[in-house]
Amino acid sequence: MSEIDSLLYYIVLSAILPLLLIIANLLLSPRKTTRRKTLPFESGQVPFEWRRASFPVEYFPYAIIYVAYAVIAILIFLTSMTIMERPDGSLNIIILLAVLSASSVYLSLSLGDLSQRL
Amino acid sequence: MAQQLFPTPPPPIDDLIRFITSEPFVKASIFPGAAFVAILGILTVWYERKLLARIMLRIGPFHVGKYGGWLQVIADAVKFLSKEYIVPAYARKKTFVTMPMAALIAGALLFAVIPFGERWVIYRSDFSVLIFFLLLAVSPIPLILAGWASGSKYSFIGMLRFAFQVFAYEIPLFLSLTGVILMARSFDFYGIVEAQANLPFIIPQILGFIVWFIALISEAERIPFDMPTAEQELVQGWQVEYPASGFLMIQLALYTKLDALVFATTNLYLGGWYGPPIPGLPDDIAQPFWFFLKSLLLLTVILLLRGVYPRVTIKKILDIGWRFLIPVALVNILIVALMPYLAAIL
Repeated sequence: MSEIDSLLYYIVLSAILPLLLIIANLLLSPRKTTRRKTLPFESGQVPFEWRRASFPVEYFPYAIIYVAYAVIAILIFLTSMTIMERPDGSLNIIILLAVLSASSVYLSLSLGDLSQRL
Repeated sequence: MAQQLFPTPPPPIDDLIRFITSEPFVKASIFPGAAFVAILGILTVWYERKLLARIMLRIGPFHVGKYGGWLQVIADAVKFLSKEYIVPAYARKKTFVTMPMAALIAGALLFAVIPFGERWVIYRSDFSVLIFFLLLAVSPIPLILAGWASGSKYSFIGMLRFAFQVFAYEIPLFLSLTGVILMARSFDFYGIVEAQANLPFIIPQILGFIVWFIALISEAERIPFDMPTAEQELVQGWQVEYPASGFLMIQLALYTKLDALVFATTNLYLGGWYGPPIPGLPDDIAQPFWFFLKSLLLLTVILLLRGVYPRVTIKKILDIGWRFLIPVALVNILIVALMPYLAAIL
């Protein structure tokens, strides 16, 4: 199985590449850390506390839509396999696809603006 | 008595030479493998800088390297390597250091299943499209973690935007891929390309191609959709705290991912390695030639967008993803599924 071999070699080589970069960086770079250097970037200001606050995002509608569409995508994937198996006798699945696409078009036309401030 | 000009090397070295010149190792290390991926990333950056410079009536990289400053990118990389790796005070140190490496590995692994010709592939599998998509779905996670681990406001906001954008655009990508799989009746890049021997899928599936193309640009964080790393407002967004080789690895990972997506698009929609036969050129060379020609055209279009369009707001990005691309992708699947019936009617 020469192809499995080449896949294994490729995985090892692609894991070595970042290691090489980071070792080269350690060898070539100076190491003189000061407090001023390790401050987080804040446009030249002194950083103030906000690092791990809760974020002001209206997340919920997106989460719902994501879950719904992920389920639909898996469903469509499975139906597409069926169509691949029997290309001629799958009219009911095509009707299902038609209903799905019509409903999603209707949704996208009727759905108002999702609130989002980020 | 004929003297042996080259004495046969002792067994261990002999074995080593045999190993290095064996086909699996050459494939993994040189052509579709590691060296090719690294050089490709560098060349893409150089090509982008030159192209953008021409659009803006500048010259671009000029001094380092004789022909069009082609060594400039390597000089930049060496400069990045000679910088100090500063870990910010509030960062989560282990995650901060390891995530760029994970991102680079994930980006490079995308190339493992992409064929560049009938012979040129690292790993040929019956489910290579699924493997590709799986790796593609994993690849943003190290980047999101990298932004989160930086412990800075800018990178936090950039990371949130990135997460929203990736979630919004993964489903259209998947749905448009379903159309291609349906039409080719195969989960393999080889099967998909062979199904396009007469007609590339871009012609019957133009809707799917539009969806895939927009989602691709968003997935690769190219300019109309680069809100997470908005250079002017967010000062590189989630990458802002990354110094030295961390930044280099993130950039390399992003460009590698862009290249992998472009090559996958060539396979999925543009007919892969099929092209008019060139007299006197064997198939093993002509196929990658056509493949790279198509990919270069597509890459040029993607890079041109950066010189032409301003970036759109995050609200609009999400709107396009949820409310335009998903319905269009579903309609595309319906059309593809109806095609046998339409052919019977006409």
